[in-house]
Formats: sequence, C-alpha cells, structure tokens
Amino acid sequence: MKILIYSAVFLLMPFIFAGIINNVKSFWAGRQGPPLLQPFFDFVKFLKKGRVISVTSGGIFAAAPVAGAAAALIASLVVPVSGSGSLFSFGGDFIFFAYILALGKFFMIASSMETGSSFEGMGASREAFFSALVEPSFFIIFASLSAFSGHLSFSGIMNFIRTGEPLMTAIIILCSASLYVTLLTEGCRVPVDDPNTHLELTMIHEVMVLDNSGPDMALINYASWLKMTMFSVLISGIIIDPATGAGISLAITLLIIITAAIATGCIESMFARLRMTHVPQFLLLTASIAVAVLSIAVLVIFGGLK
Amino acid sequence: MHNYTAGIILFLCAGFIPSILPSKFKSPAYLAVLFAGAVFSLLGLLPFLFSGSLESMTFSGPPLFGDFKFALNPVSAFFALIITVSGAAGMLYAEGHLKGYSANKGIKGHYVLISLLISSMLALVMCRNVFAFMMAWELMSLASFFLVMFEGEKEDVFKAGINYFIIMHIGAFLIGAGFVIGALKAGSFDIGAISVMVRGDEKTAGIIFLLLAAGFAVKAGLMPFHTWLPRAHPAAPSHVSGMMSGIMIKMGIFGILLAVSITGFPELRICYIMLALSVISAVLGIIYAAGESDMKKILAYSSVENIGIIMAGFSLGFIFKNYGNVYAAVFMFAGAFLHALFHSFFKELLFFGAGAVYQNTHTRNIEELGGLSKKMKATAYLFFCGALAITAMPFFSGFISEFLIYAGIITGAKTNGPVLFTAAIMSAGAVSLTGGLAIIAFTRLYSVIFSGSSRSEKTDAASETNGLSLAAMYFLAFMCLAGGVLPQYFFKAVSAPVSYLLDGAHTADAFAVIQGLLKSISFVLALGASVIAAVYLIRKISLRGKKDESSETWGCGYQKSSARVQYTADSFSEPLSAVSRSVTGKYEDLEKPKGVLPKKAFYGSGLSDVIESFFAACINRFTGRFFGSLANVQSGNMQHYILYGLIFLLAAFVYAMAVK
Repeated sequence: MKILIYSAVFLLMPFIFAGIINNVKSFWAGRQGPPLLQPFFDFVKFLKKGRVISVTSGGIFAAAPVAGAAAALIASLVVPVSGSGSLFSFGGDFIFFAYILALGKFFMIASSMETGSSFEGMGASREAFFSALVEPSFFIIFASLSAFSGHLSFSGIMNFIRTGEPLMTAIIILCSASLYVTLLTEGCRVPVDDPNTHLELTMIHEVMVLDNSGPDMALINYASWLKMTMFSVLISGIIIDPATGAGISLAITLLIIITAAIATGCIESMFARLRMTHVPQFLLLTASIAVAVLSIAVLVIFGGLK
Repeated sequence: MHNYTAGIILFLCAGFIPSILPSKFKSPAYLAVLFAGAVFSLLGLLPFLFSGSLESMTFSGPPLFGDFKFALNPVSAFFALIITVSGAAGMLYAEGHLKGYSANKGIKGHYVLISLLISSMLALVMCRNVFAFMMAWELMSLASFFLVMFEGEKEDVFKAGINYFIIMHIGAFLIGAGFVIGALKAGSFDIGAISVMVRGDEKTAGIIFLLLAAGFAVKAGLMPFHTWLPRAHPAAPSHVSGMMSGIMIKMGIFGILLAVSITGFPELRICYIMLALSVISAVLGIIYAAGESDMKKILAYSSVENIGIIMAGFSLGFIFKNYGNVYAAVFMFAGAFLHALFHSFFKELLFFGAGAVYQNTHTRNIEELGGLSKKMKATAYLFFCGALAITAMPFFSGFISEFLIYAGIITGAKTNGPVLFTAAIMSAGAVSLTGGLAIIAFTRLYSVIFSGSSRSEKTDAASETNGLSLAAMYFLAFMCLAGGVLPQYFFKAVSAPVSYLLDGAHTADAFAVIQGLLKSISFVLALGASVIAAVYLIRKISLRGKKDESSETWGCGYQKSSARVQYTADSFSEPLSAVSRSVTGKYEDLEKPKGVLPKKAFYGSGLSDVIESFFAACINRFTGRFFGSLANVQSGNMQHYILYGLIFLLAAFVYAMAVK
C-alpha cells in the first residue's frame, strides 16, 4: 500500500504537476490548455526518439541525465508523504536529501560544461551559484527544527510540528514560504528562471540542456518535475498536523501539490523573470526566513515563549 | 611497537634505494621496500587503533633533556594510519611522477627527502619527549622545505620556499615557547610529566595551550595562518604538494590534539574563537578556491577550507564536552577524525591528477587547458571521483564525515544556551554554504581542465600518464568510494581515538547510534544504486536499435564554433566573485594602450587574499611607524650628532660611576 502511494505520488504526480502548470498558463493567456497528461505523452515521445550527441562531449555528458533523474528519485525515497510516512527514514535523512540532489546537480553542471558551449557554460555557472545560495537556508531551517524537536529525520520533524500554537503557525508559514522559493529555484521557474524564454542569454536551466535530446531530455524533464513535486510534498508534510487521519492527510497532500502547481502557473503568468542581478537578492529571502525560524526556535527553547 | 619501528626504518630505507642500486633494479626494489614498510607500520599501529592497547619504549637521551620516551596511543596511531596509507600512496605516485623529472640532477636526494618526510612524521606521532618531538618536527619541516625547493632555480619557487621556511619557523618558535614554559614548570622534558604539572595551574595551562595551538595552526593552515599554503603548494612538485596537503597539514591537527591532551580541554572562550576561525577558514578558503585560476592554488585553498571543517568539528566537540554533552561530542570528534582521514585520500588524488595534467601540459593555469578528458581518460575520471568526494557527494567519502558533523551539531545544539544554539546552527549553515560553493569550485576545476575543447596549444602533446601514477590514483579513488559506501568499517578506525580523546567517558551509546546511522546510509545507497541501474536500463531499452547522431555543439545557429567561445574559468565563477569581491578584495593589473598606434596593452584581475593583505598591511604599518620614528634621530644636522655622542659619553660615565 505504501509503495503504491509512493509510486503514485512520485512517478505519476510529476507529470500532472507539469500539466497543471501548463493549463493554468493557458487559462491566463486565454488559450485552450493541452491535456492534463500531455507532459507524460511528451515524455513517452522523447523516449521513443533517438539522440543527437555533440562531438565535443564525453562520458559525463552521457551519464548526467541518468544521474540527475536517479538522484531525484533516490531523494524521493526519504521524503515522507503525510498519511503513509516515508519509504525509508533514518536520522539525518534531510542531510542526505539535500546532498543527493546536489549530486544530480553536480553531474548536470559538469555535463553542460562538457559540450564546450558558451551558453551552456553560462547556464551552468548560474545554476551552481544560485543553488549554493539556497542550500544554507534549507540547512539552517531544518537544522533548527531538528535540534528544536530532538529528531534527526524528516518524519520526526514533521511529527513535531503541530498546528494550533501561534509560534508553530509562524514556523509553518515561514517554512512553507522558504520551501516554495526552493521549489521555484529547483524547478527552474519564474521569477528565478523562465522555461519559456527564447533568448539563450537569459536562460539558466534550459540553456544547460541545449545539447540533450531524446531519452536524455525525457529524463531531465522528469527530474525537474519530480523535484517540484517533492518540495510540495515536503510543504504538505510541514503543514499537515500529525494527528490528522491517514486518508484525510493523503487528500490534503494531493490538494497541496495541486495548489503549488496552480500557484506556480499563476506566478509564471503574472510576473516576469527577475533581472539576473536581482535573483541572488530574491534567493537570499530564504536566508532571512531561515534566520527567523532560528530565532523562533531560540525564543521557544530558551526564552520560554509559547 | 617493534613492527611500527621497523615500518619507519623501511620507509626511510626506501628513499635511499635509488641512490644505491643500479637503475635496473631500482624501481621494483623501491616499491617492494615501500610496500613492506607500509605493511609493518600497519601491523604495528593497528593494535593501538583497534584494541586501544598502550605500550611505550624508552631510550636514554642526552642528560639535559631526559629519557626519550616513545609511545603510541589511539590518537597517534590514527594519524600514523593516515601517514602510512596516504604516504605509501604518495611515494608510489612519486615513483611514477618523477620519471618526468629524470633529467633533474637532484633526483636521488629528492627520494631521500620524501622518505625522510614520511618517516619523520611517523616518528613524530610517537614522541613523548619535547626534545625528540621538536627534532622530528624540524626534520619534517626541513624535509618538506627542501622538497618544495625541488625546482629552486625558478624564481617563484625560490620565493615560495623561503616564505614557507620562515612561516614554518614562526610556528616552530611558538610551539617551542609553549613546550619550554611547560618544561620549566615541570622541570622535565617528558610530555606526560608536563601534562601532570600543568593541569593543576589553569593560567599556565591556558598560555601553553594558546602558544601550542597557534604554532600548530600555522602548520595546519588555519586562517589567519594559512598564507604559506597557496604559495608552497603550487611551487612544489605535485607528489610533494599532495603529501603536504594530504598528510603534513594533518600534523598540525595532531599537534592541536596533543596540546589538548597536555593542558586538558581548552576553556570556552578559546573554543569559540577556534570555532570562529575555523568557520572563516572554511568559507573564505572555498571562496578563494572558486576564484583562483592556478589549479594547485585552488587545491591549496580547498585544503584551507577542509582544515576549517575539521577544526570546526573539533572545536564544537570541545564546546559540547565543556558543557558536559559527551554524546554530541562523540559525533563531532568522529566526524572530524573521519574528515581528516578522507581528506588525505581525496586531496592527494586531486593533487596527483593535477600533477599528471601539469606534467603533460607544463601549465598550471586552467584557462590554458581544456578537452583533456579525451587524451587522459583515466586521469579525468579519477579526478572526477576526487571532485565528487571533496564536494561531499553521497557514494563518496566526504559525505560521511560531513554527515556526522551535521548530525553532531544538531544533537548538541540544545546543550547549553541560546549562544551555543545559534553558533552551532549557524556553523551548520556555514558548512552547507561551503558545500554549495565547493560544487562551484570543483565543477569549475574539473570542467575547465578536462571538458570541452582545448583552449591553447599546450594540451596538444598531452597523453595518459604512466601506470605507477595511475595505480596510486586508482587506489586513492577506491578508498574514496569505499569510505562513502561502507562507512561503518571506516568508523571502526576512529572509535578508539574518539574514546581516548574523551578520556574514557561513556561513549558506547553514541557509537551504537552512529553505527546505526552509517548502516542506514549504506543501505539507502545500495537502494540508490539499484535506482540508478533501473533508470539506466530504461534509457538503454529506449535507445535500443537506434544509432546516435553526432554533430557539433549547438551554437544557436552559428556554424563556425571555436574553442575560444567556451566559457572560461573566470566567467564561470563571475556570479560568485561579483558578490564575494566586497569581502575578498580584488587586484587589477592594467596597462593602458598608449599613443596613436598602441603596441601593447594588458589587463589582469584576480582575487587578493584579504587576510594576507590585512596582516601584511598591519605589520608594514607597525614597522613603518616604528622605524619612521627612529628616522627622526637622523636629522642631518652635525650639531645633533655631536650632541648624541656627548649624551652617550655622559651616560657611559654615569653608568660606570654608579656600578663602582
């Protein structure tokens, strides 16, 4: 049952997530949206195609799409889905989660540098820098919560966060906001990156994969959607009270995933991508959130604040 | 103990073989003796490491300095393990790498110096007498100094060597001063006796600890004492920089732990200062590593970063211990010890890879390289493994040690008050920031050297490096992978040192928990390997029966792509440098074009080491002011000079009268 829920959430939902974003964007543009499962059909279509490989590239370029998709899948093993718990949970699994995602990123950056293209180098450089900015916030938030709760694992932390108390509500709001910004960064979405842009100079993620095609592209796209789904599942884990029944929390989880997708689509329709120089400022927003979470933890533990 | 001594002697002998034997038998004999030395040394030290047995040897020394006592304990046995394994790998690599230098006339002496460096470090860890310790320490510093000076006829090498020599002796002076204060207090040169006497007197203990810690921090390369690293490492040949960075700077860490064992755990204020310096080292070190373009300078700065992480682990461990939280301290010490061990593997691997590249291209400037993965396939993949390990990627060893450090920080954060909590969590944030920046630094380093196409004609003649060098690198890469996949076995090597450092406090619970965590990581990695295999199979099946088309890299429609349009190392790190420049400082070298038909113009820019320039500026200002005030004496007025003479005579007269 658990494995069933897991495969449904992490193998199927990413496609729906992407489908919802596309439909929301179509709605705002006044167009008739594509079918909800169009990303899945695209995935299959890409798998059926052959590849065009750059003569400059080598082994890492060949390995990176597999490494990227596998890293995202491995990371999803430790993400708890509310109502069913995580497939595999151990102390410090959130550290593992962040580092295994970084492993996929490492391969993707090295792979796009391997093509010897100036544009892909540009994307790689930005990707490396922006993720380095987001990572400390993720750690400060989860390390504070983990030290606060005395649990080293995702599920321990999420069981600790209960709704109802005002400070806990503050933590929930701050964490969700920070995780959502991370979702936008990892998923390469507006305002950090614009997946629809046609100018290579302003791309980040899209420009890194200019030379990938066929099944490799399918894996890369899937990894990106999976990461967004994973982060929205994390948000739902933070929001849902641990006392909620299994069936209801599963329903809420799905609802939150869908809401996150709709929100992403809305943001993408209503805002433009930030100027490249302003992106670090936007990302450092997560750092201030992290400091806020840390100070709440300090106040509660040592200041006797309730 | 006798096995260990035999190991030291064999290591020493290995270096003399190239000078004695005819060149026909040289290489096999050297390798055989080296291997025997490593085996004996391991046989000797493992009992101390695993069962925690203690044994000592005493020789009578010169009357002034007392008996020379040699002993191993789990901590020194642990560092001996690093020296033995990484030292043997380094000497193996040296044998292959030095083939490229066979024309150099100092080559025989160079072998002797290498083995002297390794055996002096092996001896150093078991010295329990101040005099013997300082001798071994000097031997190590001098051997490494001459090794750095291998190509001393080059001006930059010579300058770097002298700089290294002076800074090492400032460090040795501090260490010597600390020991002498202790020895005067104890009336004995025996380290054990000093420890007993000093522990009663808190003030002296504090002074001794500060002197020793500062002196050893110079060797370890902790900021602000790191300035010799980015100079000496590029100057030295690669096998030497690998061993210095992988092994010798760990002797600084060993020294700091020795200081702890002499004076007891340092007081809290000092711990916090150490923590702050370590975190600064880690963050600034990796920022510089991401901005430099000399590949060995990058690796040197990354050593500063890793020493920062190791010392942050130890400092937080001391803090937790001070507050009585042994459980969390175990995590920190275990993480720090493991990081020291693993760092010696991956840093040597990276330096050796860089050495292979340098030998083939004769440049250390990564902006002139590129595309080498096609010509040096094995080196490229091994270097990539090293890069994955040093950036703490799962499946590789660096992840395990950093994982334990994070886990320790989180478990111990609540130990005392808000100050500790904030400091601990922010350190975790800083470590993760260094992790993110390390990804920039090492994807950049790997990609600019090995990926894409060549940026200059210097790579034209490159070919795969020789078998012996590769063998050493394969071994180190294997250790990096083994440490990441089966961490529970490597943890066994650090459990006795951790218990010893904590002086027999109850550590069993924490050990059991750590073993459990490491086993779950190992399990989830096995699960991960099957996920990777599954994804790989999906792609393989979907590609079945199709042939890959190959084409030029997509240049947005532009057909005549050239290697010069590639992203350079400098542009890759530009987003980071643009932000960090306000902290790190930057130098610009500009020669403007002059005249109507300008002939030459030049522009260069880079990061300047803010700590070095700050200290240099401080010292310059101080000396300038002091000697500037002396300059007033020289007024140029003859009457003044006659007056000085009269004053001197008067003073001499008064002194003579008064003494009588």
